[in-house]
Amino acid sequence: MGGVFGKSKKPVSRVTEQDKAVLQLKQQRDKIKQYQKRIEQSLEKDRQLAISCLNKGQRERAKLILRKKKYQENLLGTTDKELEALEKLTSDLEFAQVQQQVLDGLQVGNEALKKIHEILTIDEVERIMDETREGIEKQQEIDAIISTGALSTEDEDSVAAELEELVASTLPAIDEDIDDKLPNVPTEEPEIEKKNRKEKEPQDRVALEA
Amino acid sequence: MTEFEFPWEYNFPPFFTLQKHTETRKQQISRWKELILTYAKQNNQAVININDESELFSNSKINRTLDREIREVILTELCKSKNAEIVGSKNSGTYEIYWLTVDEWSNVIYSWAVNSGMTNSVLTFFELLNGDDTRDQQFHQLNEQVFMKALKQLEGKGKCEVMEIDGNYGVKFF
Repeated sequence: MGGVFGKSKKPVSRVTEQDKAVLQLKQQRDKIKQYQKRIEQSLEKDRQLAISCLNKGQRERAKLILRKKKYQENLLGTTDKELEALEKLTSDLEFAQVQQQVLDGLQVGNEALKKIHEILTIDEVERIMDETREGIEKQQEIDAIISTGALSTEDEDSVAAELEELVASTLPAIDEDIDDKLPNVPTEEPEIEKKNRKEKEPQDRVALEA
Repeated sequence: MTEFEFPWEYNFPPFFTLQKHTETRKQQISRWKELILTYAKQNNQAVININDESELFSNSKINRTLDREIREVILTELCKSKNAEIVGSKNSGTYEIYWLTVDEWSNVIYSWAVNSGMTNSVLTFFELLNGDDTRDQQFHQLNEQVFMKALKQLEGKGKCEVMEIDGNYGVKFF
């Protein structure tokens, strides 16, 4: 057993003092649990013993055993309370460790934020913003110079003409004064039709007569 | 614990005599290995001494006992497959039996620790091996030496650290 532990002591142990304290508490808890198990077993034995004593007619002895049993039952109750206290303390300790970890995390985040802020002072930000503004202004100036100097009015006209041409060739031609080319809607009743009908009707009748 | 059910070979007299034919012997030894592992697992017996008389090596019903030499051959085979390890001196005849190899045990234990959120907290060996929380785990009531070996392996990988206070052990998983 010793050999297993003797070798390879790690240079940095990740076990903290609190961990050791937790372990000790838990070991105490284990001991109490074992103790409880023992008492429970002896309670059961005592009960059996008391019964057998009664069967043999040893009333006094049975009573004595029951008294011992009662005493142990009380003990069991006490240990239960102790166990509860231990477990509470253990979980408090564990929770405190978790809280510490949270705090550590916050601390690290805080440090990082501080470092970033160190790099980015207000003056620095103002300087950068000024420079950016200057840059934009310069660009606008350049734009203005280039756009005024580059194209003449003639060029602009020819560009517009080309655009017109393109529109005409690609989009379907829609005649704007299409209304003028269509005939007007007649306002009077068509007379020729009426005459035709009158001529036809007598012919039909002739056909029927024949 | 239910009565261990021996395989049919156990009632087959030639099973207790080392076979001459190479293939048959191979088969015989592998069946013995299997028998020893399942027997050890079911009885939760982590240590076997080949010098001890046990029902494992002797079948009184057919009046057959496995010779010590053959026992040693089989246990040596088990050592080769990492299912056993000799304890103490070479001639002690005492072997630790691993129905799961130490490697497998360490995986089982570590994945339990991760899945039950036990990383970063301290646990005692007692609560791991005998506690109510691990009652349905394979390593419940595992031999402490074997358990320790598995944890030592995890410790080597930086996945846990074993602590000791007054001869009682605890472990913290990471």
